[in-house]
Amino acid sequence: MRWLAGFDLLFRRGILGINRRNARCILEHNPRAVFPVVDDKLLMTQLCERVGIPTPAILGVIGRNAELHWLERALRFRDSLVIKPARGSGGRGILILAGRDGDSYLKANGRLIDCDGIRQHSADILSGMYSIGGQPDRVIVQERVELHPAFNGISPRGIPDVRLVLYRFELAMAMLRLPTLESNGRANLHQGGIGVGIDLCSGRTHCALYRDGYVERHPDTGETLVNRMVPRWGEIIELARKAARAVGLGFVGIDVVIDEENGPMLLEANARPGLAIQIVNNQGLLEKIEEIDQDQAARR
Amino acid sequence: MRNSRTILVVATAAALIAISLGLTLARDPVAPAHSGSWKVTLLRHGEPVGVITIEQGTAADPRDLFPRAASNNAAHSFLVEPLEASEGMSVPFFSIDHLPLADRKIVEFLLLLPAATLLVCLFRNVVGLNSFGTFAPALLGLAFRDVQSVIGVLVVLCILLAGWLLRRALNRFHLLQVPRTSLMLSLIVLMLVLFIFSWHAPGGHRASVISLFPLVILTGMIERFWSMEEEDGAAASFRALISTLFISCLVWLLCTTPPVPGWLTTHPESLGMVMAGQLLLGRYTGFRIMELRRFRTMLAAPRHPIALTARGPG
Repeated sequence: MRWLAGFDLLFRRGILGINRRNARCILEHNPRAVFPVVDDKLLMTQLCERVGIPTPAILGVIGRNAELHWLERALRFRDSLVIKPARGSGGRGILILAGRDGDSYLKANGRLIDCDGIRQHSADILSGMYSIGGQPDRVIVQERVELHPAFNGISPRGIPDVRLVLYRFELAMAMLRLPTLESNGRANLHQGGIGVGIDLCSGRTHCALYRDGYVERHPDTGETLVNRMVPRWGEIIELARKAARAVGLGFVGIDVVIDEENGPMLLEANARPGLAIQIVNNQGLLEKIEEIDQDQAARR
Repeated sequence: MRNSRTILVVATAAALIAISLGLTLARDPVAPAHSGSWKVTLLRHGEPVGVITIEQGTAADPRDLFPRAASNNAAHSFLVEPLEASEGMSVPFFSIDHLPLADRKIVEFLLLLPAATLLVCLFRNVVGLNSFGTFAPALLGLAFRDVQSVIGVLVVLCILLAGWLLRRALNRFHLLQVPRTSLMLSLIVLMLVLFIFSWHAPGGHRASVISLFPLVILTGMIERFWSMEEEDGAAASFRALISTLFISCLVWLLCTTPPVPGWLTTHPESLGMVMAGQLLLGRYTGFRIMELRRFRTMLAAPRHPIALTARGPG
């Protein structure tokens, strides 16, 4: 019966559990018909273009093996770009080319990859190796975002992104996801990235989670993680609200990257946002959700 | 809105419970004594091997002398039935006693299946164990029941691990999904057939340890096992494999505890109870036990000093 006391503790911290998320948030506020749009990055990008939400520029889309030779031509003129599956999830299958070394390219983890390797990776994406449900997929070749100077020293070999969770189109919680050397340039928490909680009002970071514990400094660089300002915070919130309304999901995770030149851009939307953001922020989502529910009831 | 939905679900569940309870109570509490002769069939592994008759006038009810076995596939069991239908003895409609042996097995399997899935629901949504698929543990557990030995579990484990290695080997061929899973099924069939032939090698006579395992489910499990290993690492996939086998073993335990199949086959209306349980679990929005582990870092840490109540600007 010890877990009953534990349940009470979880409840008193206002934590949103997976059952409640599924029944009260996703089933009630996310229409099933919208899922294909958020699961396919190409459809999502088209939607963003229609409503005027900036996204990293797509240089090309490869739908068939016969088109793979196009990649080599595209690579000739670029030193850095991102190759990703249209229907991937959880950051899988994303190949980041950060720079060039002769005929080879530098991957985010510091290793080299040649043209054949890039072709092979793209063929794997086409065969559906990284797509949801293993269905055949398309390859997106995308411009690489430039690291914003605010993240110098806390984002080795990768670009951080901001995950915002919106409930009924209101911001409920946010975190900054930082890559580590261990996470190979990716910022996903379960792959060894760092989650940094953001105070919604000020856009200031207030606590950071790495693996199973709270930290104050970046494990690789030793730079402090808390009390930093997320640049262009107001714009980020506006973009997330706009995106949530555009896709029509009442409980959604919006991922935003901040480009040095172009400012906040939408990376992707998630119809089933994870619950670890609560641990990162050391705060439960349930109280936020109830607060928003009451607000909206009062407004009516 | 939300509350009315919950009330509707609870009311439906209550109605289901009431109907099944009512049907149970409406049944003849005691079957009228049969005064004629009885036929007792001795079954070995579900196959009839001998028949005896008990003449009229024995004091005890032969059904007490020859209790029904936990499983229809038990090493030894008895089938007790009246030699000829006597007058005044009503056979209830919902009774498996007058069914042929093969159908009896099917009905028992069918009635156990929903109970098994209820157990799976409980472990997935209340405990929070991650298993491969919803029905895999239920069907595997029922398959274990038929073989009635730990060997069955080991055979499944071996097939899964061998299939997983084959799946890894197949990966370099870059096959399309449908032909690939079909090929996996063929490979599993090959392994099973080879196993059966070597198990019943000439000269030795051993009891059967293989039932018709849910092969398709097994194929799906291997695919999920492999993709989970690729995506979330070997630790996550083995954890899911162990919890799947754990739930399967509990299903097996549930289905071989004599009162459970006994009650379900004599009182098929209890299906209403099982359905009520499934309905109620469908509206369970409380925490899962495994979430205590997931959020342990947060529970151990003190509440953050900054009060984060305000929402963003605007």
